[in-house]
Amino acid sequence: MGFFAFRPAPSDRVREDFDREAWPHFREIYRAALRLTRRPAEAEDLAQEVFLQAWKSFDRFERGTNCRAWLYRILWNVDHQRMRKKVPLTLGTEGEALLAETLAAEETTPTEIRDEEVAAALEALSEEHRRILLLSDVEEFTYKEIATLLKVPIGTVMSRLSRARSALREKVRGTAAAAAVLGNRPAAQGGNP
Amino acid sequence: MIAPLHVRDYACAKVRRRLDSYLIGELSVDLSHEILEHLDRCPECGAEAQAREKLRTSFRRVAASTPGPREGFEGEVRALVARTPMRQPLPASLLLAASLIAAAGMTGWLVLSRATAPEASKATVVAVLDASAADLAAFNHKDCARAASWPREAASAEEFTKSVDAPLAAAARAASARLPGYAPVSAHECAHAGETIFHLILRRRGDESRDGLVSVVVTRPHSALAARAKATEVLAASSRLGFSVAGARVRDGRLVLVVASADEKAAIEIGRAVLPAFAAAAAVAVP
Repeated sequence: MGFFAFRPAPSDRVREDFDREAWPHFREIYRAALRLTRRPAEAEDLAQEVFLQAWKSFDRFERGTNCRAWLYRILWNVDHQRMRKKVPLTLGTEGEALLAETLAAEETTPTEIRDEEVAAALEALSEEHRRILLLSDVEEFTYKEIATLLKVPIGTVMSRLSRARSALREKVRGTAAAAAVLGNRPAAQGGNP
Repeated sequence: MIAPLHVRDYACAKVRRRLDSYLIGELSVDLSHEILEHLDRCPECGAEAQAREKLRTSFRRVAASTPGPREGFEGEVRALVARTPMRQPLPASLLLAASLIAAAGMTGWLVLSRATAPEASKATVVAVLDASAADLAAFNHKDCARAASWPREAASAEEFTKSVDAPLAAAARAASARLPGYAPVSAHECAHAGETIFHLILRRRGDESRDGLVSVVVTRPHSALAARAKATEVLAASSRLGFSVAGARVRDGRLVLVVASADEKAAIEIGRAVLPAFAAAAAVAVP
């Protein structure tokens, strides 16, 4: 019977391992889920699913490796299935990538920005842009890790991120300019230091 | 705000294209050094770097303000996980069969079987699927088979196979013919775990509920999903969604999965009935 390495019922030890490795990340995974879904009810479903899946496949978690990254991979996969039904994630064309690179070279970023404006700009971003920015800047995954997560080449990650950052800067410029026009605060000073 | 700047200088343009990668530490040491040097002597780019860093900090602050879970939610999930078994073991009879077949030293392409089944002589090794593949298959079943309103009656053969390759269509018809209690309602291609898969949906006759639906999922040749399903591991895994998943790798690195609302034994029976047709189709199907 040695041919099949079936797992015995989980011992207390496995539960202990799971308690130690996975549960400390629960709040963070929930918050990441909330950032992805933006709705607490959906975030709860997602976080619950992540921990159920993680528990069921915990024997495949390589002890000593980054459990948060492993949980996040599960989160991303589960959420990806959910998203596929709602918003098809579009892949940018080469032309768009080139345009984004050009924009990244030409544009400038406002220096006077408020968090509320950044929050508003984020809300106005496309789902694809918002999500890849979250992966890079908030969850702090490297290009390589994002490439693995999205199952795309690193070059694609870089061009998508570049487009997303350009889009964010553009939205922020828009909201900052609007704030100045509406008199919420003094018009930003032009010129460079 | 910095006034719009038309960067015509090649060095500036080059630096700005890489500025974000520089700021998050994704550039090589040499490139980082090059950019740092430029930032030191170019006030416009230096200001832009500061502005981008400020924006990123603000973005992170906004994201960090995301509230945590409501009180008691973690406890609820912990209780649910505590009630959940890690993984369903295979029935003992199947284990024995698997060992017998394996002991016979047969390898090659894989077909679900049991030692007592007539297919055993043709069959080779019982495959066990990597549980993640099984989980994902169950997800696809939920997303596609269960979320869509498939017909209650069997479609005509032409209708239900018109959107797929001829060999797969033939396999779908052959498989359907081998499942007397079921009628095909759809055969199409859909996305599954980042791959395009062939999805055959059958409905148990006289059962109009969602539980009467069965999915047969076939990946493309040399699929990553199939590669993840280790040949010497898992055959049937109950999914967390209450489905059973049975499956095997067939020729050309294809993975064939059966996802059913029925119990594991029934899923394996269905798998046993449909897999030979798909294994044969896989040998001739166009990628």
